[in-house]
Amino acid sequence: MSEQTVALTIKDLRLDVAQTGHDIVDEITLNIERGKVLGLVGESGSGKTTVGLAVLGHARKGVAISAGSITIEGSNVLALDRKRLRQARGRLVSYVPQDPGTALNPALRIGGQVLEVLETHGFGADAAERQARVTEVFEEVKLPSAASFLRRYPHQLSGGQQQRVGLAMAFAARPAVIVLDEPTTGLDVTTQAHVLETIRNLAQQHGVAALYVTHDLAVVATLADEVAVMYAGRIVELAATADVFAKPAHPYTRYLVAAAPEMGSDRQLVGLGGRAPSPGQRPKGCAFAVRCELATDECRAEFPAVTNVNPNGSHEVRCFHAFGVPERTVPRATASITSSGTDDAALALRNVTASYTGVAVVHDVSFDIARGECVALVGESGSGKSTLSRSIGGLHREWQGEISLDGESLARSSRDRPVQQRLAIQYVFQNPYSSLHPRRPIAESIGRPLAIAGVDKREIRREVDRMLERVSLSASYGSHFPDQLSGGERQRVAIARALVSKPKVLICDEVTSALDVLVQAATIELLVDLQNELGLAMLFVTHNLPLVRSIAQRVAVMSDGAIVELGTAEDTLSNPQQDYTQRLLIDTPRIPDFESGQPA
Amino acid sequence: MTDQRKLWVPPTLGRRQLIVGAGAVGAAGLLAACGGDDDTASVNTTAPSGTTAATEPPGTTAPGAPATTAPGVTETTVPAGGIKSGGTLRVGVVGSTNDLMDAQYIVARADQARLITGWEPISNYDDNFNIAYNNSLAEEIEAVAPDQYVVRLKQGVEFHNGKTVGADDLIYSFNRLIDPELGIAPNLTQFIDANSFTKLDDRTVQIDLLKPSVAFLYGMADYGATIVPVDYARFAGDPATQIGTGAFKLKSFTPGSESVHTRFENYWGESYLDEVQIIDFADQSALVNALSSGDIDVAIDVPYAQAGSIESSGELTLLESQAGNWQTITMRVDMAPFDDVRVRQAMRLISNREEMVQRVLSGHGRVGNDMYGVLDGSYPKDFPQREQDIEAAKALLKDAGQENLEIELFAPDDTAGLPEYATAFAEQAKAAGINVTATVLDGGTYWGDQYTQRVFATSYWSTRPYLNQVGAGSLPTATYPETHWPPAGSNFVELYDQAIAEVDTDKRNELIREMQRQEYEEGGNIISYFQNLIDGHATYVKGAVARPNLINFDHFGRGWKNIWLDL
Amino acid sequence: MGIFKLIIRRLLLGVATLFVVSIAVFLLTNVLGDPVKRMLGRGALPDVVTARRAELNLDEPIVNRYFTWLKGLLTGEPGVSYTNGTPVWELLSDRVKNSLFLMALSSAISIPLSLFIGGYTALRRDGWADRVMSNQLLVLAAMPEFVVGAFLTVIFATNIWHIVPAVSRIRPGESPWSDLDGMILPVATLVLAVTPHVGRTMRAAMIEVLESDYVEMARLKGLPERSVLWRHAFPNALGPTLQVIALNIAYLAGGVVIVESLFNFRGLGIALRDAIPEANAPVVQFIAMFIATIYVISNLMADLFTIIVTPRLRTRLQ
Repeated sequence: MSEQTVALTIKDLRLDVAQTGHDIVDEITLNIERGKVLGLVGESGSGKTTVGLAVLGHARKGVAISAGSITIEGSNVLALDRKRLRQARGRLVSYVPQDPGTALNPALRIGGQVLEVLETHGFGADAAERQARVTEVFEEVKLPSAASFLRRYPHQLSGGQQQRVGLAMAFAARPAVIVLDEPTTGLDVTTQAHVLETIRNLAQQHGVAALYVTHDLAVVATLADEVAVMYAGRIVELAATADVFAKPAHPYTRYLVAAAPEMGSDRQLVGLGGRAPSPGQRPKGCAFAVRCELATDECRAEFPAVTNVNPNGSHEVRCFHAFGVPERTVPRATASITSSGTDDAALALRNVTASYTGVAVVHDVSFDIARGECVALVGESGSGKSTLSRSIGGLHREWQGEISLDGESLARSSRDRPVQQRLAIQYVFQNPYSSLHPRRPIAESIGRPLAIAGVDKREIRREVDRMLERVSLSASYGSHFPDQLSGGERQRVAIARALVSKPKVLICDEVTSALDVLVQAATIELLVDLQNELGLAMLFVTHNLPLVRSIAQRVAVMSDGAIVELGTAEDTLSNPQQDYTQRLLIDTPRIPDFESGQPA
Repeated sequence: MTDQRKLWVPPTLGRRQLIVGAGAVGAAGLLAACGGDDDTASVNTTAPSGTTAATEPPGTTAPGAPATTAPGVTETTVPAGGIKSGGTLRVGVVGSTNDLMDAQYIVARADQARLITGWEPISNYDDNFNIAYNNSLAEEIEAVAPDQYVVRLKQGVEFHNGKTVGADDLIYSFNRLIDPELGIAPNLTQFIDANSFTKLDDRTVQIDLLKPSVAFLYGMADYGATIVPVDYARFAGDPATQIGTGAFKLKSFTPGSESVHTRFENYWGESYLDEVQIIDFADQSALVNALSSGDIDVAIDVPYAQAGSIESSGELTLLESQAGNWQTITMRVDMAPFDDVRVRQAMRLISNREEMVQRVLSGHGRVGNDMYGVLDGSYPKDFPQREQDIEAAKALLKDAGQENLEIELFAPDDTAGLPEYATAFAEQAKAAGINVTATVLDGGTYWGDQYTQRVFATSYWSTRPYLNQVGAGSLPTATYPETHWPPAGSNFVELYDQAIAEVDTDKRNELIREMQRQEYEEGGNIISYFQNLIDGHATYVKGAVARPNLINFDHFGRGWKNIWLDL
Repeated sequence: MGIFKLIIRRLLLGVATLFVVSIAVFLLTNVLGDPVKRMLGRGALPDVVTARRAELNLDEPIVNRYFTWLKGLLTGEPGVSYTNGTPVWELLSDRVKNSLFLMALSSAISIPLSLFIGGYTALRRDGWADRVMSNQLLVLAAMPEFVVGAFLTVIFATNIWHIVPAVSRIRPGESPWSDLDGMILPVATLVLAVTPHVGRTMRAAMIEVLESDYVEMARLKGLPERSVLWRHAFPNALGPTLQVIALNIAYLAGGVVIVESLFNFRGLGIALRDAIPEANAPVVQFIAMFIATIYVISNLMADLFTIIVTPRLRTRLQ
């Protein structure tokens, strides 16, 4: 890595909570060469976005940059005065926000929002040149460049288009460095794939160094040249992408890789309990030690220094026990339920059509779920999968056709269903906040379905404790309130609440999409166990294709309100019959098999 | 509602307006003069006295130098340079968009100011409250009999439109007062109708009453008994219709805003100003502020609370005139314990009148002597002033067996002064060993069904001639018999009947003196004080004299003709 | 274009609103009391009362009277004041002008001022300037208008200095422009009364906007702070503030009785206050309808402005 080719150098960067002085991130050191992409990976709260913003010399309210240097093309961003810093932003280093829906100004036209970057920084010789650059950059990010399009407002664009406008703003003034903060979160896979490709091409073509901040390993694997893994405010592993995925050295990285779902394998996802310590609560030693199987007194006493574990290149890791974690990839014990005969069907859908205010959004859907079977319902946002699952749960009433439970036809609205039926079909939502009463102890929330069914109080108490235990939360959690729990814990509570009434059918609607990968894995692990144990019929609604094989036996692919493909998970994902499914699979980022040397 | 009323109705205004719901502040005084049993009347009414047909030569009295000087009159001095002519006088008065302009009818004080500016009555009172003609249009009124009067008008007085004031105008003016369509003074119909008037010549009219009453004579001296030209009608948008004889004629009028009156060159008397603006104010504090900041020259009717701030300013001064409005504690002479005269007498001895003036009026008044009609020429000034005498009161109570009296004294919350009066009296009564509880009621309740029924209560009245006041409150036939006077066996009613038909002033005053004596010794009113009229003005405003008066600002400078600016 | 259709639709809605209001106003003014009794007093003779009632058309059925009144209102003949026989329009035309002028002047000062203060304090959030100003705004918002007005009068007009007139003195028939001196205290009082409300709303809206992703983004694009504020933050904070401004404008047009009274300002508020106890229905009705109209118009304007500064709403129309 020669000095001439390095575009961005971060050295010993530290940011603190302004009021307390507790470190948010510390000892951040990395380089990115021109045209290269470095993936900065970590779970929420790890400090990756804080680092990303610091590259632009920006710290959010309450955060202070307290040490280190960030050098871009010879100038230290952190040492610039206000005016020079302002000049550097957008010109020297630019930023692509996480959610373009909120990061684009709703009151301004998109062309203008790109143009103002050029105007501010005096790009080009005159207005005509700047206008030409706007047109050009819109073409570069694969957006229409017609004047009429430039005059649109953000809300008139799709999510993918909005993100491309974000890219256009970032690339417009031809900066040396671009920080991308989870720019594809919330996009459907096809759009995400296109945006990622655009980023890759632009970075290469224009020799831009890109810092790509994300929690999504698959995206990093497909896009980045190098990967830095952050945990609790520190970079714990930094190496070429292939090395990180093929030979993860830090136990945390190894957990991450093991927890990442893979499209091509039905291996069991292995989660990890606990959570990373927040600023102010971090130990003196290795922050991961409390969750690490390998942790020794040494780990707890001292934070390991950076070691290079690749004699032939650069593979930095901060661990006394590098490579020491046992192999985490365990094949999954697949339940061999393949029957879809109506006799066995716990839940049967026949010609279900659902609509919103008269507009049909689900068309003529029929399928069954057998006892002990999990069917994954996959599709992009807007495909109708949520409407369908809500219709089954009786939460959406505007539907026709027949849905039957154990051969008994269900009323349209849950309110019209007998208590037994209501308890037999349970629902877990994406955001457990909405299903847990914020001012009620969780034990009360969990016991509520039983209370409604008129179960005796002491009995409820016992069942609740049992369920808490079952979802790996101790019974003492019962007195906690929802906001005292982490996202993963809340989702466990929601699952406990769903299962306490011993349902026959469990509907999980994007239950893991708000969770970090380790927690997601642990949640999936739990659901698989419970399903096997209780013989549940489960409908697992998700947009995350790689997750499917880790949990479901069969998969129903939904597009535009119709089921376009229905088959076993293995067949469908390895040998899709429909164009739509094929395209979805192609567009879904996946971690390549670095070990066997396949190209990304 | 109550608060708003307080804003509009200064304590000096008559009670009945409150009873009828903030309606009339007072129609022209003829109402009060003639029978006194309609009580939508009177901002201030007049006090009779004087000669039956006193004739004074028509003419003017120099401003600030009245022909006769009554006690309590403060002279304003005319500077060596003499009176200066010219200038515009800006007068502030509380008024509203409800203001009206009628030569013979008013509702609010602003209306009163405008009426007096534009029109003049048949006769007027002098400083001793005798009938005079120096500020009015008659040359002479002859009382031929108690039911026959002859009015002769001054010669050559011109209306604003150049027409000469004549007998037809006088007759029209009387007929307008009793016009049922207008409803100005419906009670006057008991004395006159359309056939009562005989035109003797161009300026002489004989009036034959339907029944004898000297009150009619005094009524003609009321400020509202004005002479309007034939076919005069109330203001309805056109200032040119408002024809009178006053020293200033109307130029413009916008209700709730202002009226502008310009000098009437052919005025029969003398005047000094070029223009008078009567400016409406939404409330009294804005009025006082405007005076303080120099936006107006005269502020009509200043609240006691703000009098001090005007007094303390070097550029402003107060014009404080003794007036006849009174507040009273009423005792029902027909009910226990007050059916025993000793108890009534004891109560009257309990009141510390000086303290009442200080506490209730902030000093802006004078002590009362349990008699009303103080601005009446017949008022017996020589009766000894009653003072507080607790020992005598105790003795009287003991005699009556009421030394441990416990009684409730009622007051309304909508009339400034009365709750304070009741409370102060209750405190003073403690010294005499009796327990008086002051109870303040909501105004609506107070003046409702139980009004005049309560044994021990409070009330207030504007000034009327003595006989008119008797008719309103102290006869069995009175409209508001608060004290239920006179007691059984009294010859009070016979005295009244004789007096009302007695055209000879001395003889009538003898009768009145006896009536007053009865009320002074045995009556049911505790009249502790009379209220003053207080106006503020810039020191350069000259010509207004502080003297006992019925109407604010020295009777509005008798229509501003006496006022001049020393600028 | 869609916006015109919207304006027409909203105008029609406004007219419908005013129609409903007119019915309510008419019915309510009819229960104020009997104006004839008030005019003539208790001693009035019955046939006089009857005659006067006929003269005022009070003997007609209420439905007929309503339509007669409505027709008069629409044809510019809103009737005659019961108390003094002056045509309502003659009585109130100056006051309409004055009130509108007071409203316009107070708005023209208080709206930019409160937007500025709100924006500035939001920008300097928790700084000393913000603390001082926010506290002041709170104190002012809590202070009754007559206290503020009386303070100003004492300080600037009567007791301490004589810099400005204590009372307004717009002559009948003259434009309020003729008495700008006299407008100073009433306008200042109203500005002090209205600014806290609008300012605090603006501050809250601005704080929300300043914390938005797009403002952070604007800064990360290297835009000068001026451009961040005026181009990116301000228009977005304006939307929520407009509704509050509209309410305040309607208030300024007719609800400022205390200020009018304090400064003897010849506005509609006082006229309404004076007319109600006298059951002076034509005056009450006219003023109530005027205030309702201002209310409808200012809300309409606020909605339109909101649409203009909110492209999401604007483009939906197209």
